[in-house]
This record gives sequence, C-alpha cells and structure tokens, in this order.
Amino acid sequence: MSDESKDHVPESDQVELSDPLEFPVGLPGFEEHRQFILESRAEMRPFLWLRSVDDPELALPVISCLLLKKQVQLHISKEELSQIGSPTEDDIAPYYILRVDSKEGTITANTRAPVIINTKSMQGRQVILGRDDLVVDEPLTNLISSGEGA
Amino acid sequence: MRVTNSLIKDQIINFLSANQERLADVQRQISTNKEVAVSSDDPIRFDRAGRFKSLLAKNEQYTSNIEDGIAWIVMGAESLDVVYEALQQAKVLALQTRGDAETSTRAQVIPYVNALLEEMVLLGNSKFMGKYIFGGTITKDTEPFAYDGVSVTYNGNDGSLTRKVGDDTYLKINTTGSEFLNVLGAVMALRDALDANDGAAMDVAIAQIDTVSTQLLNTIARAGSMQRKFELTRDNLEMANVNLQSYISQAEDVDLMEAILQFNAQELGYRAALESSSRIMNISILNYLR
Repeated sequence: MSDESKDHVPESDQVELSDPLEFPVGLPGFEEHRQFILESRAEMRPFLWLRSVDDPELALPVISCLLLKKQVQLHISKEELSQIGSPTEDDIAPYYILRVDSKEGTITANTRAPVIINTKSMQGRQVILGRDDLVVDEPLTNLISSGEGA
Repeated sequence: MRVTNSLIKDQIINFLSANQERLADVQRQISTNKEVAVSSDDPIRFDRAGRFKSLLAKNEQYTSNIEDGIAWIVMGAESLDVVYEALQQAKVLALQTRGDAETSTRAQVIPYVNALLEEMVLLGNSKFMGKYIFGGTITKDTEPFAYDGVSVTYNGNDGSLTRKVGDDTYLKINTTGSEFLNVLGAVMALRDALDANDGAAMDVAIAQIDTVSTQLLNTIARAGSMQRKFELTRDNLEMANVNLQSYISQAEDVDLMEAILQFNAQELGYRAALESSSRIMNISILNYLR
C-alpha cells in the first residue's frame, strides 16, 4: 500500500498548462477554434500539445523553435504582428507544428509556418515565412543535428 | 502559468537534469498511453478524423482550382503585356509621322499599324485550355473579336469568370474584352488619321493612345492583384492541409508516443537542449523584423 502511494505521481507534476491563448485569426484548417492552450506532459517532453480549448480532443504536437539548433530568422510583417498585439522580440515564443510521418515513423516540423505567441498578451497565430528553402515537412533530426543546412 | 522565455529556460534546465530519469519515466508511461491510444477506436474521435479528412480532400480540390485560376490570370496578363508593347510601337509610329510629316511617310507606316492591329485582335482571341480568355462568359465557339479590315466587333460580354477557392469564396480570373476594345479603338483612330493624312486627327489619336495605355497598365496591375489573392489563398490552404495532416496522423495513423520515444531514445532531444541551452539566454531570432 505504501509502495503504491509512493509510485503515484501527482497530476500537477505530470501536466503543465499555459493560460489560454487567443488566436484572433484562428489556425489554418481549424479556423473555428480561437482559443488554445499549450500543454506540457512529462511523457511528451520536449514536445508540447497545442490544444483547443473549445474542443479538447483537438490537439497538435508542437516544439519550441528555441530548443532547436538550426535557428530560422523570422520575417514577420508588422501587420501580422499587430494581429497578436505587436509583441517585441523578447515577447515572442515561436513553435513548430509537428507531424508524424506515417510511413517512416519519423517526426517532421513545419518550418515554413511557425506558430508565434505573444507571451505578454497571450495571443498567437501561425505565420507563413515567405522563404522557398523552408519546407512544411523538415525532419526534426535535421533541425537538431549540428553542421547541416544553412 | 505563463509561457515566458524564463519558463522555456527552466524547461530546458529541468529537461537536462531530469533526462535520464525521464527516459525511464517514458518507458513506464508508454503502457498507460497505449490504453489512451486504444481510444482511437472511439467513434467520436474517428468521426472527427474523418471529417478533417474530407476537409483535406476539399482543400485539395480548391488548391487545384487555384492553380487553374493562376494559370488563367497569368495567360491573360501575358497577352495584355504584349498588347501594351504593340500599343507603344503604334505610338512610336504615330510620333514619327505627326506634325508636318510627308504624306508618303504616313502612307508607309499604315501597313505597320494594320499589322499591329491584327496582332492585337489575335491576342484578344487568346485561348487557355480551349477557352477564350477575353470574351467574358462566352468562352467557346464565337471568337471574342471579329476584325473585317475596317472595324472590330466584340462578340463577348462583361461577365466575370471565377474559381471556387473556399466554401463561400470565389475569386475572379478574367479581364473582359471591353477594356481591350478601347485599346483597339485608339489604334484604329490612328490608322484612320494616317489614311486621311489628317495631322489634327493624329494628335487626337496619340492622346487617345496615351489614355488607353494608362488604362491598360491599370488592368495589368489588377490582374497582378487578382493573382496575389489566389496565391495568398493557396498559401493559407497549404498551411491548413499541413495542420490537418498533423492532426489526422497523430489521431489515427500512427503512434505518436512511439515516435517520440524513439526520438528521445536516440537522445537527439537531449543534444538539442544541450546545444541550445548555452545560447538561449541571449538568443536573437528576430533580427529582421520588418
């Protein structure tokens, strides 16, 4: 009995939730969902869920771009930034949406369109970086290994 | 809890220190998650994946409509560019023979102006995939422009052609021939002035050519903005599809936890965190904010 209680991990240690994030223009494909949370689960790290508040079953796996070695400069228009409260550089947290390749079983990141979050106003949106060298299915391993790519 | 940069730093530090422990933890948790994974048999969840799949198929149809629309617009804009060039050539001929030019010189350029006129009529009857692009909604059987050597008749209309690019969104793809007709009218006025050897009428025709040149440039610019609308919609659809696929793949196709476990087992995540944690304190990713 005492062993069992020792093994029990409190819920709060397992799951961390962000405050609700407002997506004023929605997320492409899920336009009707305007509120999301970032959810960190112990077994998922370093990955997070971007989960819809309206429909908690709807969640996309994401990873913080800051965790990756291959950093991409974000060219974001003032207009796009103004839609999420015109954050300063320090207030922006960028994330890549991930996809598991069903054939390979590998994880790919949409580096062409990161989700950026204004950590001050807690607003977010997906931005399309107009760069042809960025792809929607970059293998995650390419982003974390050193010396590859530009 | 706020997601701030300091939180992200803390996450990394925790991630580093707890990595070994965590790997064991993941192993332990996998069995739990397998139970969750079985819930993909859950009909509601499956319905949702099915719904998003049909959305995906619909978006692919829209994307194909967009490609068709862009090709149509590009074809039209290219024809208009050539018409503009021809119009400028007509103007050069007019300027060379205005004022007190000899009658014989004026007579000499008439065949060139006629050739430019015929070229423009041909361009006005341009086709894309077997359809006339400047005839409004009359795209088959009847050529939009008929030229009998004297005057031009427009057999098209002012109707818009559109492509469906969203559930309730239609974007225009065509430029109608009536604007085209003004261009032809100006060149015919020049030809008639040359024919009549009428200097004053030539000045009027030249002014008319300048006016329609400006109109034509505006029309070409409008085609450009029509094209950009299509491209923005295409980019947005592409992102929607990638997001939908992200959801669908983890909802029904594959075992996300398995992939994550594999990923972390290779310690790639560990290396990523290790490599970036030293730089994260003063990271600058937005050097090119514009």
